[in-house]
Amino acid sequence: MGSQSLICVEKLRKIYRIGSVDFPALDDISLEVEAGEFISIVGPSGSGKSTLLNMLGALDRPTSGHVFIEGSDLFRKNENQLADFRNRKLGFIFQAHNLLMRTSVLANVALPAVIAGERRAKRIKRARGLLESVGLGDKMTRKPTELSGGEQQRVAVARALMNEPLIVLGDEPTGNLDSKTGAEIVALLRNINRDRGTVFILVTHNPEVANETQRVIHLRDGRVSLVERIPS
Amino acid sequence: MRERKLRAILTIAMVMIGAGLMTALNGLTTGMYQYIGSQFGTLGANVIMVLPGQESATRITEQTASVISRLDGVKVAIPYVQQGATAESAGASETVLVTGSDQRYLRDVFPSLQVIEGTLVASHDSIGIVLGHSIAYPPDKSKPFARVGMVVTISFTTVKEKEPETVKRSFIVRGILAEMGTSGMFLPIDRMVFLSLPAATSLFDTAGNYSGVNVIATGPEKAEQVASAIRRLYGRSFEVYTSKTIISLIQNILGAFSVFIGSIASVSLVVASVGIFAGLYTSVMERTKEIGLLKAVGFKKRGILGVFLGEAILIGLIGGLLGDAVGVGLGYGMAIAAGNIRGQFANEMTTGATIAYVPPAFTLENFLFILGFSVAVSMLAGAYPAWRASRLDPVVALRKE
Repeated sequence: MGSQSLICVEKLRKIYRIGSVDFPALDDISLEVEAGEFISIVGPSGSGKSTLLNMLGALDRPTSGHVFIEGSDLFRKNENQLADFRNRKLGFIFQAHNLLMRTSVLANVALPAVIAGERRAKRIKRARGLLESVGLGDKMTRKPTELSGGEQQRVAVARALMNEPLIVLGDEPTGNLDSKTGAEIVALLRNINRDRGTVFILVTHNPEVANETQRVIHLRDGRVSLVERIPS
Repeated sequence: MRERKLRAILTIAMVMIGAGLMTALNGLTTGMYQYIGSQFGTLGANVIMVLPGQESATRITEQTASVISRLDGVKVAIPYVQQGATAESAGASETVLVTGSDQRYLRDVFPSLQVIEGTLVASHDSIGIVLGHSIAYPPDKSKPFARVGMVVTISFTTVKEKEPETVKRSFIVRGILAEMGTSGMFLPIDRMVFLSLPAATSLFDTAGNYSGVNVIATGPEKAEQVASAIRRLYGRSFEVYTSKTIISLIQNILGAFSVFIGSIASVSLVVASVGIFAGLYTSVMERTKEIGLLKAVGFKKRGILGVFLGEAILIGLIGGLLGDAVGVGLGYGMAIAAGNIRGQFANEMTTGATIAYVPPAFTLENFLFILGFSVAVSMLAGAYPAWRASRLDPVVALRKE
């Protein structure tokens, strides 16, 4: 079964109890993601797309069900193991507040490697390379506050790639950007997906962003309502 | 951003004030401790002081002295008469402590005593006087008070048949003592003048009673034994001190006092800890989103705990170091102020002798202790906020606006 796929989600449920009423945020979700895919998750507010992304990102635990990544059951791991897993296998790009504002752009990008305990010279070298590849080679010593919104998201992209993750998860990564800048970021992510084979899973409201991905998973009331393949 | 910087500075300042106060007060009591040790250092180690008991009517007389002098281990018993008075010479006047005793034994009582001009007064010299250094050369005046061969008039007020009466008598300066550095309250030799015993008993009309007896033991090791013998002989009628017991008595009182002072100062650090707590807690709340981000990129609980606890330790370390430094300045300032206040209260009772200025003393152990205490208090105050931060749910933290 799912052990061949990179990600295999099996009957995932997440139930929030509000007062005495059970509210299912995720209701029996199953899906598979293959290596090299570029996927978006769309749906109205409250459809469970962020909750699903948090499960895939090992930030939250389900009420029942499993997530296998590279064949290993994510939620059999303890908290420290999950933290290690996030550090080594995943990258995150959030809508906003991605960066430590008092720290230089270069240090922000290198942060995941600091946690991984990588040698300074090595991590600085790779962080520089990543910043150059996202077009910020000339702003490495700046503070994030001195950058535009689009530039800040580029820094977040570089940081997400720092430990050469299998999967990068984006929670509305273009949500705070104007449409032109947003499109540039999505194009950047597509190039990275093509060149490095990194899997991207983006949660978005924006149909233009979704249309740029290979597969669109529609959620409604915590269930998968439609899976769309976009012809490239 | 700027608010956060200001808050960090204020938190450090709180620790600094607490640690500074502790350093200063510790320095003052240590200084006082050492000062008292040095004051009594002028007293010979084989001297036993015998004074009238506070609750006793038994007087010290010639007979007392001769009984004590026959005790085993006693080299000599030196009775003396001591009273405050005013000395006048050529229009100037000084408050002095007049001591009348057989001056052949003066060096037995104060081994470091030296005459720089003239000589001591002979046993039966009824008009000779020896001046302490600060009396002959008042430190606050440019002109000497009196020189060898000059006349000094001693006057004091007494009550005779319910009428106050001023007694005056003139003496000729025979000698002047070298500076002993002890113008303090306890044994103000520099502010004393010395007469022969008969001259003093006649001047003060003491009717054969003495102010006390200084007993010289044959060696320092005999001092305690002689003191016990005197205590056995007279019970509570007299108070008997060796120089060692005086020092330890005063230092015991001072020790208790310094514990009291120290605990007051440490309260200020404890108050500072509430500030550290509030500061770090606010910081955790403000940085919730940042903590969520750190968790997302792989920080473990332990790591987050370390970041915030590290911040608390840093606050304690910087505050403690600054406090040590500020405390030294504060200690000197307080020592000068305290000296001035004591100076204003100096009066006839203390014969003008006062502890004008006792420098504070700082020891490495004190510095390190206060630094350690600051760090420990900061760590304790930071423990809960740091724990809260480490326990934040990343999903909730990231969602927070």
